[in-house]
Amino acid sequence: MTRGERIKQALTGGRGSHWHPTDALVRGAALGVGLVVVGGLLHRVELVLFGAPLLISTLVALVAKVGGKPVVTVRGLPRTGEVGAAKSAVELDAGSGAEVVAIRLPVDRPGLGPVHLLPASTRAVEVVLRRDAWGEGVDLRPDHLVAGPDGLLVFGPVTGTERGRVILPPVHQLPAGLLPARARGLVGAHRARRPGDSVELRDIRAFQPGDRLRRVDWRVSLRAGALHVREHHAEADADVVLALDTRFDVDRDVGSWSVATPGGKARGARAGRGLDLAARTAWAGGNPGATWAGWDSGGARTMRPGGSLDLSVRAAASLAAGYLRQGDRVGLVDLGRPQLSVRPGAGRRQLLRLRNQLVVCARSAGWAQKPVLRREQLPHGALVVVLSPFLDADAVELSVHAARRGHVVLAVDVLPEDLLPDRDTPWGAAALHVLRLEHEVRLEAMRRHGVAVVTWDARAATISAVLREAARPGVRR
Amino acid sequence: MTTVELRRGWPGWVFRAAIGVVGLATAGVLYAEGVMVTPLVLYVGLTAVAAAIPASAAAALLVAYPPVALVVLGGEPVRPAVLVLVALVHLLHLLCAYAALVPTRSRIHPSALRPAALRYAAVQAGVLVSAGLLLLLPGGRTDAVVEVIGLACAAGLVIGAVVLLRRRS
Repeated sequence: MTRGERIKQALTGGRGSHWHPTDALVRGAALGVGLVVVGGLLHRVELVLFGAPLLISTLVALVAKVGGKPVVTVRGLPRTGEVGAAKSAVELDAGSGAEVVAIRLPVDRPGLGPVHLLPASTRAVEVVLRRDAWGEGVDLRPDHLVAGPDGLLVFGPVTGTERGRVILPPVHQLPAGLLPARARGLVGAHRARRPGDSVELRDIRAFQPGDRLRRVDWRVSLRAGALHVREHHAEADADVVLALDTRFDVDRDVGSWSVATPGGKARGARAGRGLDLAARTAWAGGNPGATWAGWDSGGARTMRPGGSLDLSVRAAASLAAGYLRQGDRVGLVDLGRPQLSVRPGAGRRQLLRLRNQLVVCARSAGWAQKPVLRREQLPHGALVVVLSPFLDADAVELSVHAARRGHVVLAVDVLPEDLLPDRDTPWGAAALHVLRLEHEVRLEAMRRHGVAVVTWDARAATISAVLREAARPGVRR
Repeated sequence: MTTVELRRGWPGWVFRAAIGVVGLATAGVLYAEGVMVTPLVLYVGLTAVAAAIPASAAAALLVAYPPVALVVLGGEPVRPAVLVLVALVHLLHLLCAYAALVPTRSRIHPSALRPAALRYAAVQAGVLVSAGLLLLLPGGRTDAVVEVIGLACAAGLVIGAVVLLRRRS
């Protein structure tokens, strides 16, 4: 036995992952034998009658052969999932002689769930895991305790291994639109500037050697007296880069922007990671009941709903899904952590990769000295979507610089609507007014530099309208 | 391997509530037998403590007090009140044992308690039969030989219990 194990055993009073008697066994044995013996000595039959059931129960428990090491295994739990319910199975092997199993299992509700007292003959239990928010979290921790007859001998309590899933950010269905006219391939959904084989007319010009005869426009040729051909646009994929500003996570209450969250993490520049794994394995010593009562069944705590980072991630996932559905190539840049970026790619696998990486970005989000968007991170002519609450000038400068380099830039403002002033200070309303004015000035500055600015609300209604407008026939993309 | 669906079950405080109910019932029987109010108030207090902390010494006192009180009161050794108290005290012992296994905010699936309930019924039936046999036995002075044998059996019981407990711990 190692030194650590010896210390643990001393702290836990010898209880833990082995079979050991409970207080009930000592009580039954002492009182059972005591009452029977004293009753016999004093010739008091009633004492014998009182002691006999206790003694018999204890003897039954001691005679029954309990042993083996109980094993609890979880199967059918995927690494990633969607918001909502999922099913998994927990297999139990309680060992020989066991009569009941107390095991912590979730019951169709977020969190680790309560302890269930089940018969030890149960071999497998189907559990419904529910998560209502995206992010990393613990779904299942099968803490367990196995007991023999009448709970006089127990194995445990044993802290189970945590099993978690990454819940991917949800995707809102968005219409297509607002894409740059830039060819990146031979096929795609968007009109490119160069000539190609689409049905959209680009120009009518004089015939040149090498032109196909089927492109000759006979009506124009007859009128002009010389051969003319119709030139069409090419159709191409677009590159889209989603630039996520993870330096801020602010919610509606301005007063709480710089206050630590209940989970111990500061809001504002550092807030919102959530995802407290709740891996507390408190050990109170003494009776198992007290020990179990000390365990917290809170389970996973996900990101603050409605915060700017939450909105950013939801917006990025929805935009990525929309553009990838059209066959475009979508990449991701974390402005606070450039090393977490994802190169542009296409297809369903890229969407999964991006949604996973959004969770990673949100987990490691926090303060950064300056947002970084390097030139080499942006493919030539790519559409750059900057998702930020625009609470400082750095994100604005970055967006404007990208626009000056020739990119189409879409700034998605994720500052929550209806901000509430700080109630702890009489200057709260005034400070909020100044904050709003500064914010509006920043957005206006971006508009003047040719950056399209849209607001992301919880239902993505605003950006849907903008994209629908941009996708109308006749609107230049 | 058959996979069972997890049902809702009973709330975990049912054990604690049952301890309270059985404790109060025991106190009521003791009151009917003539025990004074002051010790009964203490007994009810002990019941509350045992319901809150089922693995504490309060549970042992809860089980030990009724037989002591009946011995002090005297009377017929085998009478209905004694048999009822025997059943209630045994039930208290078992409820405290199971309540100590699970936290208050747990879910109890009744099928888990079926073997314990059957065993309880069997033991109580055995005790009732023993009580009936005791009523049939003749009273009066016991021979010295029988006394010595009884003492030896008592000593054997104590030694056996100690040995078994040491082996298990």
